[in-house]
Amino acid sequence: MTADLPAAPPPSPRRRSVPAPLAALLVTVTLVGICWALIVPAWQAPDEPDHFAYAQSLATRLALPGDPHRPLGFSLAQSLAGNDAQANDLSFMVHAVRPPWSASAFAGYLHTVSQQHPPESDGGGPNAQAVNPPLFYLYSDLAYWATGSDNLFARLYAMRAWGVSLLLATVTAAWLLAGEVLRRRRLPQLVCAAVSGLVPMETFMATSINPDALLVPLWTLVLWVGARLVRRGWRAREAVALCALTAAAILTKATSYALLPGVLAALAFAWRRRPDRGRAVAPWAAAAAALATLAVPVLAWVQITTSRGVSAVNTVTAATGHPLPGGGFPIGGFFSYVWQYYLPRLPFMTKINTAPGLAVYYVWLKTGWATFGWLDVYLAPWVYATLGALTLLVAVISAVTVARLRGARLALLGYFGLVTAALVAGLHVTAFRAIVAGQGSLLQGRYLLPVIGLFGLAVAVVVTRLPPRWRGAGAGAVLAGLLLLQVISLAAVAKAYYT
Amino acid sequence: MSRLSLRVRRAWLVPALVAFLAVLLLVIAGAQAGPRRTFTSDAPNVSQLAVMHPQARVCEGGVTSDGPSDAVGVWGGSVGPVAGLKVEVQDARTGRTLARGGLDVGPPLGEHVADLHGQIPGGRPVRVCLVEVFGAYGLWGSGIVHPGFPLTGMLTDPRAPVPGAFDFSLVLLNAHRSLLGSLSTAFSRAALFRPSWVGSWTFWLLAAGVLATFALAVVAVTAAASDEEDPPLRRASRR
Repeated sequence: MTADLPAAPPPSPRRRSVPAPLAALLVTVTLVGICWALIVPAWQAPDEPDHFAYAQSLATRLALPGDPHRPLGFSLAQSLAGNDAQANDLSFMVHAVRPPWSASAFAGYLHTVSQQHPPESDGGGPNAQAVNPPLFYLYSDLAYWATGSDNLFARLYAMRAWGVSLLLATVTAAWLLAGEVLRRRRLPQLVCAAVSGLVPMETFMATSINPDALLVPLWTLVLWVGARLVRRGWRAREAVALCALTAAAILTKATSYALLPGVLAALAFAWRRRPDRGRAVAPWAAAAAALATLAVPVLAWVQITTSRGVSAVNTVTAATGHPLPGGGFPIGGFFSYVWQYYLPRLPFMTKINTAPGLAVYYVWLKTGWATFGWLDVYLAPWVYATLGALTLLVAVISAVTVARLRGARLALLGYFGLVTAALVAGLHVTAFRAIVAGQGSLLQGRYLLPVIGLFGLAVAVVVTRLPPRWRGAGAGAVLAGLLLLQVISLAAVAKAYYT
Repeated sequence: MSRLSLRVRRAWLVPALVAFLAVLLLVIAGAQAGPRRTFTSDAPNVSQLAVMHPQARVCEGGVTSDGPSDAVGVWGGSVGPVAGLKVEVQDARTGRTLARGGLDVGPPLGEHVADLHGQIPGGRPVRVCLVEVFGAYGLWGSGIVHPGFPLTGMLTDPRAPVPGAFDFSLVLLNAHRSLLGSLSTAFSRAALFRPSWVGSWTFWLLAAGVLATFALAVVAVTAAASDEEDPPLRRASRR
């Protein structure tokens, strides 16, 4: 196997340093990320109050929330901060009166907390996010512990700013992914990394208190390490790393169970191509170690959730609050739902989707690219139309390119396809069960962000299809376009909340 | 080499051009006039306070805006196909009418903005009155949050809430301020409910930083394009 690979280049200081394009991109993403962390008002990201309460419960009590014996879901400190920022009035209210942003009200809040020192550890009760695994919250708590102040907003914004590190991890992982798939070519690597770090929805979510912030870099790393295994064959360290990353993703959000088919297929494919096939015991030990790295933490978490009497995966409950009966999944209805999600409804079909038009546009595209706050801050319609056209163009060109792939790259395609298909299928099954249960569709475009590295890769492939003399210009247009979209998005948020 | 430098030049030229156009577009868009809040009551639009029938009149005040205003926004919706409202803004001390306006409202619940004839000066307490002209209007607001300016007046509905116990949701607007012109206000508002070290200067600095990222993008693309043409390994082998 090693004979197939080019000889390792002589070590040089340049190889160990961060490539200049990546360094410039990381600085760019840091600046944009800090803007997002600070500009969005407190609690104005999806489910942020619940996620903060979870992190606070871990930070102050070292205990998971959802304790039935504790009456308060939010601590008094959080309730006070939430009321003063009028978070409850704004959530899910598209036409809500925006807060007055009174300096005296903030001064009053600071005075109150300095006098009363409201407790931060009396939460831990009912919490809609209590089913989530704890990894993201523990990571976020590093920032919580690092800031000591009665002003709870100091802790909240520190946790958000800490999310910029996750954004940088996503960018770096996407850079490595493109380097693995398209070889070390700086322009496509730059494009892939820029798309992964500068799509506004990703920047917004990475700097919110939400497990999706950690989910995206972990998935991108899984895609990269899995691609290395598929392309280069079995390597024990990489197999263990892939399993550890998958376990970390599962311990971040239950969505990551969707990684299992792709990861196991990548491991099996690499195993078949191991250099010392059938010879030694050591690879079996390494394989066992890799699988144990995946299985042990996940099974431990399943055991913990079982002992708490909750499910290890997010469950859909009927509108009455009871779990769905086992038979509540009409197959025909499911296919009709999926059809209507992506294509116009046929005359004989019952209307299932709740989106005003094609859900693939209204859900995947609009809320996947740029919809902020509690899904109540939108951009102008022409922006979405432009993004839709560009996304379609990327999809078509990359599909044509992929259709021409032959040989070993098909295995890579299979790996990426399996990961994406499992994610999308899992989301649709969950959403359909919610619709059957009378809850309406639960889907949001941000749920596709875990595979944003693959979208970046698709855009990078489009750039590589340009004539060589236009590739730099194409990459430049992608980066400048993304930054323009960032400024438009930040302006929309500022306008919605502060003008 | 000359072809290489040409390609590298094109690599920075396009993002630089796009960046310039982007900034130009942002300046033009930011210079467009639009409604900007000069006052917001703390009363959220959480419940319908009353249905106003013709001749009903409710007032709220005195409220003080932080700048000149020429529009009033209230929350609600017509009960029936359409309702007509008259808006009067009076000096809270003298009772003199400073500005008037009116609007026709449909059934969808939401914010309804009445442009005023006349301007409300900033810094002066005013009372805002709504008079139902025709149809019926469901007025939204909340329990009283400002004992200083409660809802007063006559609602003509015997089931209406007791005046003085509620506030209707209210904003005063300047309809002719650009987004760029409002940045200072927006940044000073954004600095509230933040860590103590954050001020409006933070957002000015970040805004400058975001604009600088266009230059960073040019640097990144130029470096990547030159690496693409002349990768390190090829350079090493030439040496």
